[in-house]
Amino acid sequence: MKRTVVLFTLVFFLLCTRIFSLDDFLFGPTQIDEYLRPEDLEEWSVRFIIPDTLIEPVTLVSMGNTIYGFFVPGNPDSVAHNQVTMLYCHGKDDNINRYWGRVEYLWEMGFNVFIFDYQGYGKSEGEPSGEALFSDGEEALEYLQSRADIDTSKIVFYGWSLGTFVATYLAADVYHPAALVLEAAPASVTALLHDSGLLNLPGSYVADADFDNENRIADIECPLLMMHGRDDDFVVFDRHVPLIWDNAEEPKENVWVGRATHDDIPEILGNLYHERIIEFMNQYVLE
Amino acid sequence: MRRKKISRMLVIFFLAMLCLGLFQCGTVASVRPLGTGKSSITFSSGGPVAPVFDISMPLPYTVLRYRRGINKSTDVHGGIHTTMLILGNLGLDVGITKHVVSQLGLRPALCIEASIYGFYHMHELSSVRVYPALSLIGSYQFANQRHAVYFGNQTMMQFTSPYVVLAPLIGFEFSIGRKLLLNLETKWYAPTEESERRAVDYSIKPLDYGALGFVWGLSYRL
Repeated sequence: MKRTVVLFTLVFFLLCTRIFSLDDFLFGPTQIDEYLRPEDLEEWSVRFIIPDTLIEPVTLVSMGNTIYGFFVPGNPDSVAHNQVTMLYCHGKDDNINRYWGRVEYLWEMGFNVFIFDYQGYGKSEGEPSGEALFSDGEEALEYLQSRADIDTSKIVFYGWSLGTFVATYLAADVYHPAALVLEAAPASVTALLHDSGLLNLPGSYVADADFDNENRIADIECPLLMMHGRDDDFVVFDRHVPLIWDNAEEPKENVWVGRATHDDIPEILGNLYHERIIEFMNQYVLE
Repeated sequence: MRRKKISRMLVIFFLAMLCLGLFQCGTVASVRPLGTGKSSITFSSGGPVAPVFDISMPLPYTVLRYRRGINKSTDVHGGIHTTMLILGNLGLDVGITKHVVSQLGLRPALCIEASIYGFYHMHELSSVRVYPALSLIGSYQFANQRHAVYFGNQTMMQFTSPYVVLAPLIGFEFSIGRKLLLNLETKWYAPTEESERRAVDYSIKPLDYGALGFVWGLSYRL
């Protein structure tokens, strides 16, 4: 009996601190010394269509760490030129380089785009965490709001995968944007857990990050565009999309893409990707 | 692309370690009664087979369990889920095992185990989860009753879908000297649940349902 009591006492002492969490495994940053070198962009199908003169490097400070980003004013040849500004929150892997092709798509459509690296990604200092990502998003938003050359009433948050947690957080808890675009959005860490093992455990069992699109989405007060691949084998459609979609208020639009997986919605959609986003912006943001 | 895959694998590894491994919790079945007043400690580890860095291996969900015989056919037990501990969660199980039928000829010995699994993430009362579980295990002893082969099913229940999760199993129990027992089990975790297109791509999915896994346990008789 004594032994049992000693054992349980030890357990409670151990519980005072979390020795290990899943948080680190939610992020896959790659650090670099220089951005947008052509040799580093080969594997990401970048077309280099944005003139260098339009690309503005930006540095911000988040939680005491310098983070890096790029602001690109919309394609001057586009009808929507300079009217809508996209705050682009990228996914869990690598850094801005990997997502530059996505910036090009949005720039082609005529939108101003601001993309930034979270702490620990690319050249940004610090370490990624749920708190850090939210702080970085807030700083990025403040930066856009401080620019005199953009219409702050037409800022749109665009999140891809992990970035959807940041975009939804900003839209629900920080600032009502003109619209929210979620691409391949996981419902929550809890949903990932449930999907993996069927148990109804809360996400807090494995991660401190407050990544919870399914609940936050109910608090957004702007038009929502959701895009998701039917063949997404990581954020499985049936087990994530309904949790977010059903909780979101109108107005909301969706693009469910057959044959698309987690990473290739724009490529599978082709021109339709451009058309659907422009159509959505015309209807809800530029009306 | 390879880097992305590995990174995703890491996430999957820990999700899997915590999740499907949690069903029936990496514990090995108790096959024979300890006897009145006798006790043992078992350390067990295992779970479904999943790819980790491109190598398929049983996920190491670990449990430390104390067992005590309260009469000649009934044992009680309590366990600490050590994998949960490193994640800052308290995982405990308590239960009772009743050996209801003795082996006679072709008739196997039978035992029923009823347990309650409880989990709690520190400082978060709403995180408390409780799962009742029931097992029915048949066994044959051989080699002068030193070893045993056993089979049966473990069932865990929860209050959301899926309400019942099964884990049929087959295992061997080997005596190593007078104090040690080694259990080796193969389990089919969640055989009623589709396993295609889940965040965790388990390595062995019989008929595309559930996942096959392996558990080992080492018991020391005190």
